Amino acid sequence: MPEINLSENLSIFDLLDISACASCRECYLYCPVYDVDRRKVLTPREKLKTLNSILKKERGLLALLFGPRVREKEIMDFLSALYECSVCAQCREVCPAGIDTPKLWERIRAGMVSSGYGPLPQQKTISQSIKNYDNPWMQPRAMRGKWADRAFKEGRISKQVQDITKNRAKVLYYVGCTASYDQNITEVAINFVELMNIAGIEFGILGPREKCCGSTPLRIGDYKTFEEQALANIKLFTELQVHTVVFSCSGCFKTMNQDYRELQKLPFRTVHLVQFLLELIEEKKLIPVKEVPLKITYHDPCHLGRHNRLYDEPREILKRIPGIELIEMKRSREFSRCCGAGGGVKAGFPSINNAMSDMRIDDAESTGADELVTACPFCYQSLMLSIQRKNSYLKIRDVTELLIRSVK
Amino acid sequence: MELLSYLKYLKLGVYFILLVGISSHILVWMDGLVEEREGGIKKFLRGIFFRVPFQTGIMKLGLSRWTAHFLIFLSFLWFLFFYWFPWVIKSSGLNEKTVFVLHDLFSLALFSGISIAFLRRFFSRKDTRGEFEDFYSLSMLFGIWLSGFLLQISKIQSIEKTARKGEFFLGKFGTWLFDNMGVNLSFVPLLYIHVMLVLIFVASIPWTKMIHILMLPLKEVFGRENAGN
Repeated sequence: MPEINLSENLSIFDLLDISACASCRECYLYCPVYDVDRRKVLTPREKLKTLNSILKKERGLLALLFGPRVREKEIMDFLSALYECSVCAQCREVCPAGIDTPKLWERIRAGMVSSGYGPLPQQKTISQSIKNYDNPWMQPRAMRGKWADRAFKEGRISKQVQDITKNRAKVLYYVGCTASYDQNITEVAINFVELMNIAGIEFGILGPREKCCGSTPLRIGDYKTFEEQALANIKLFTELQVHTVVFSCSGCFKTMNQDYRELQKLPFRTVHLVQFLLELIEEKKLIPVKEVPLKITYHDPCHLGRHNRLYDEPREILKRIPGIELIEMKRSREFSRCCGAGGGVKAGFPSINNAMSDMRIDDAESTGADELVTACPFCYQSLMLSIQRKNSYLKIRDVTELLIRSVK
Repeated sequence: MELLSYLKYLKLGVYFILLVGISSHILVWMDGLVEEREGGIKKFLRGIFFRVPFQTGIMKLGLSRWTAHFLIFLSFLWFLFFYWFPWVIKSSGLNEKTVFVLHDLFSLALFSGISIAFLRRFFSRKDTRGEFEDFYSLSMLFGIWLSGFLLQISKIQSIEKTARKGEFFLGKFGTWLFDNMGVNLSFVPLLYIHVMLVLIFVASIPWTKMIHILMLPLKEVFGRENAGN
């Protein structure tokens, strides 16, 4: 058994967090993974308890006097449970001690990867694909910006999307891997681009030069790949002297807005498209006038909501669209149930991802809404597949799709 | 009174067990990387004057949960100072009558807190009701409360009815009840039980979920500013 130092990347504050769990079990009530896989080892409380016990057996007073006495099985059970988590931060939200579980899990996963225990075999292809193709979908770089050419040829956007390395615009639209490559989701990028055109914003995209933000490697513990991607992106954006980077993917936004900033200070502004679009609406550059008579419900992506506290912006956009009736799900805003796609769960535990998104579709259906709206291509993808699998009457939409119907 | 003559040594033993338990945590922390602490003095002051005394972390879990926890927390503090650090209460300037009234009030608060905590578990989802560790802690608290209450009654009963003074509503009511039932409580066995329960409970703090009594305030005051806060 190779050496694993579970606390390798943990700070004193992380270790204090682990000791502070009051075992109140509030996380049992909200953990979306535990909702679909009722094994207690998966609950944050149980993981913290086991981790605390392992660390004390390794380094506590008795370990100091009589030597460490941790059983290999104990560590292996903990590690397998650790990866079955979408780091959605729901447990952090309800924890009375405010224990930063997502940060803890990511740091421990990084320790596992550096000691050769992680990521899971199914997740290894993600990092490899990012190294080879700059995206986790194993798609060629040259295809990354094709959606824009195709949309222009089909007349779906009024202006050819500019390459930012040529037009040197101050606003960069960072499309992200999912919205660039998934044919069903390029819609999000096309709509956003057209909204920018309508608002008269000069912007550009990176096309084949766009690199993955490194979110998934970071979540699964491959810190090295994340750091390489992050530094390359920061260097590129800095060289291009962009002022604002706009994201359609909540995961990319979280990564650049928070995780990149832990690496270094960023010389540009990072905003999610819901913030950017709301600014344009408030500046009257976009005026939603046409009625869109729909009963909708909104799914808060974890990375946008709990991680970035952007709950009101998407709702404000939806409220400004005439005819829209927004019905909230029982679990919304900070209690929004995760769709299960994040944190490496989609690649590592596809059946758990499916069960989680199915549950979210049940939540949405119970509101009686006709359409389910979100603001993240990754959630969009996961929920869309669930709608198809469950043969649900719901239609999945991105915020941009409804807005463009109202302003065009 | 043999046991009480050894109380000093028993207390020392409890301190030793506490120290061993806490030192295990400290030894683990010593292995941690140094991280810049965000929040600075603001977080420190907020922790000391707001988050710890008002138990704000638990507030988001609902009123019944907060009430139960807050009542137990307040009474725990009172009894901790009353019996283990009496000089704090003596130097507070409170007169004897006020101290006795407060003692009864905190006893009532402890009982109410424990009752709500038990009831909440009874009505909560099965898998969140708690395990042995959870019921052990609550039962110990209840045992300490009950033995303390009976002890107080037995103390009052040992005084001639006409000479009784100093007891207040809870003790008075309890004594009236037991007097009317014709039950005379025996002071010494109750004292043994009460002291032993308190010592066992205190000694078990670092080894059970009750470690949060020490760790949570520490985290609130000296820990990192977490997004979850």
